[in-house]
Amino acid sequence: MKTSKQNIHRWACSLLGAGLFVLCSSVAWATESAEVGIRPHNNAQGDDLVAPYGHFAFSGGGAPGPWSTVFTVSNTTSTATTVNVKCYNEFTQRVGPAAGTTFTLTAFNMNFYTPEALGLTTDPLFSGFGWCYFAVTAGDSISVGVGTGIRGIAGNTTIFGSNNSRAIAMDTAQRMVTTDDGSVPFWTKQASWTSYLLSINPTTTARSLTVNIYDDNNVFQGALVTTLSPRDLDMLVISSVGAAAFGTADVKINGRGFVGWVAGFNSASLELFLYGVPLYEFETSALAAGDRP
Amino acid sequence: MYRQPGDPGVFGVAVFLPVFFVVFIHPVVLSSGSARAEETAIRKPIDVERLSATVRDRGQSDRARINVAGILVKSGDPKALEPVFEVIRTAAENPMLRAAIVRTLDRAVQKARATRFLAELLNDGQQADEVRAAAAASLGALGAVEDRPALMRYCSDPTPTLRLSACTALLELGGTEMERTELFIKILTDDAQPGHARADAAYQLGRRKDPAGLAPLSTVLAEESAEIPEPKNPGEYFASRAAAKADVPMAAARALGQLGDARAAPSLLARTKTAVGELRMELFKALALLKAREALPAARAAIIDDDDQRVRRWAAVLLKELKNPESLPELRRAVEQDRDPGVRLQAVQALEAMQDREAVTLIQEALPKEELKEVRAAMEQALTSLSAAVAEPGAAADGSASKTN
Repeated sequence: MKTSKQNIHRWACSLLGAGLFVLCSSVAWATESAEVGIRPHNNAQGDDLVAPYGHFAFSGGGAPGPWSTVFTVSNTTSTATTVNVKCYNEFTQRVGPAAGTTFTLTAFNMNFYTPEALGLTTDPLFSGFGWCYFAVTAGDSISVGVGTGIRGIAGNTTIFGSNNSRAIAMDTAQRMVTTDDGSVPFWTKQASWTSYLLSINPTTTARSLTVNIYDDNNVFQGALVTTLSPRDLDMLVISSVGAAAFGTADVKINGRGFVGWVAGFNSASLELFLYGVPLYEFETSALAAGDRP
Repeated sequence: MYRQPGDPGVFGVAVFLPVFFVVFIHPVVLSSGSARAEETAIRKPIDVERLSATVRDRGQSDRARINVAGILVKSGDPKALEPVFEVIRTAAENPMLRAAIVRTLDRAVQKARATRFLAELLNDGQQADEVRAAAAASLGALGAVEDRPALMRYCSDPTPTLRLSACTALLELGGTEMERTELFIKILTDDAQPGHARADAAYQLGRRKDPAGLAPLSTVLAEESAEIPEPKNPGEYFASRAAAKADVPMAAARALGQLGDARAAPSLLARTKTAVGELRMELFKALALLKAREALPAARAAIIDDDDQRVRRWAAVLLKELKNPESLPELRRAVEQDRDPGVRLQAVQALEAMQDREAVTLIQEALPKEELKEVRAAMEQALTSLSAAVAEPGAAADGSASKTN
């Protein structure tokens, strides 16, 4: 009996200790999380990612076209990963198969997905411009490259397999939205450049977006204010505001729901740049299963 | 089994471990995160005096002053708002800059003070229009319901920017469904407002499916649409998408389709006579969503004659919805000859939906030539379905070609 009581006492103490340990550490972590937020660093790998696409008939620089996007989806893990892709046009309407397009990538494998391969281009709602939500439905995380350019070989869907392709730019899909602000480090309308801000609200809550635009001396040029409806993609011509030739901009949103890219195009040289809008790291929130279409 | 002197025992270890973790390990492990967090003025008590000096200092850049104002308004320090108010009140400051600083107040932590200040600003007729408009917007964002009467007054102000901000702020404040619909209608029908605001109002009316939206949407449908040229380069392409999104008649057509009220069909159909390009496509899309029978002749003509594949696609969708055997010749021709796979896809699905057994041969002939997998799949599906109907004539759907022709 005595031994039994000692055991019970020991177990009770152990449980109490473990409980205290978990409690203290979780409180500490929770406090720290609330203070610090998720440290995003590079946000381009995960289970829930979004990216814009474009696709229209255009030949230029000797390339037959069309000008189109290609997504390079890469499984970043050692297990087979199933991905479901659902896309929208810029009017918040779903485009492509109702259930989306689903595919499985074996361990560390990658593949190319064009608007045609995702079943978008034959949809009457396809406007040539929109965004896609990549959701990992089985397995682990992915990364998605977003290449865009004028296809160099007629009938070929890749822009990378030909020296003839033109106006190529590439970035990655993103997995974080901001709950507060982000910044556009550079925009330009020098020479034949024009700069655009592609703003996506992948969530189901409407948000108000303000973009404060500055020249290179941080002189305020004006603001673009718009509403991002749920599942919306908005195109703002940053370089249309003010007289400055180039500069920066700050993006403010009134709640969780902005992720963006800046695209610049030179109509004379057919050069293109594309980069994700940096989001303020302590005001970001990862897209999650609850955000999926 | 018994504790020796100096042995902390299980209980001692149990208490010691978490205390050790919290006191020693935890700060070390997370020190980099904490240090980074403290760099942000918002997360720690801010130096109000230093930041106030920055906001007031006209030698500082606009960007610094606007962003520092944004930090100050998020502070609970009683002195934090005063320098922000001071800059906004200073008439010598650039009104555009002042308006940007007013907009930062939409996140003010000290809501009561910010709201009182914004209301004064809104009611001050001596202030620049953009400053008052920004004040209205921030009042809406702060949920200043006590200022609803003033916002309602300014929602009909002669100045368009102030009018729009006040109406939008009222929408932010909530209100009854009827009030919200009325506000969206007010913005939609106000032709002094920018296209994107009016187009968004049209979108909201479509989503609400309130019959009250029918008349105003039909009215603005008749407005001139921006004729968006076929883009010749990616720059023009981006510009065309931005223009399409802000085009009021296009947004109205989309909304009328979404509204689902068949009474919209005559105005949509009438507009197809003059509309070109993307607006024409939106009109046929709306007519398809409404399954508008009166649009049958227009759709039969469009699927053959229209140069725009987007229009032909929606004409095919409309014909698929109507299932009228009169359209079978056009649909068969589209399957055989249309150069756009999207049109072929809709047309073959229409023939299947109408159980057009006479189309079996032409689909069989078209299938080997078809390049796109979705269209091939639709053709195979149609052949399976129609062949079964041929084998069992009684199983054919009502209204099928062989029954009615």
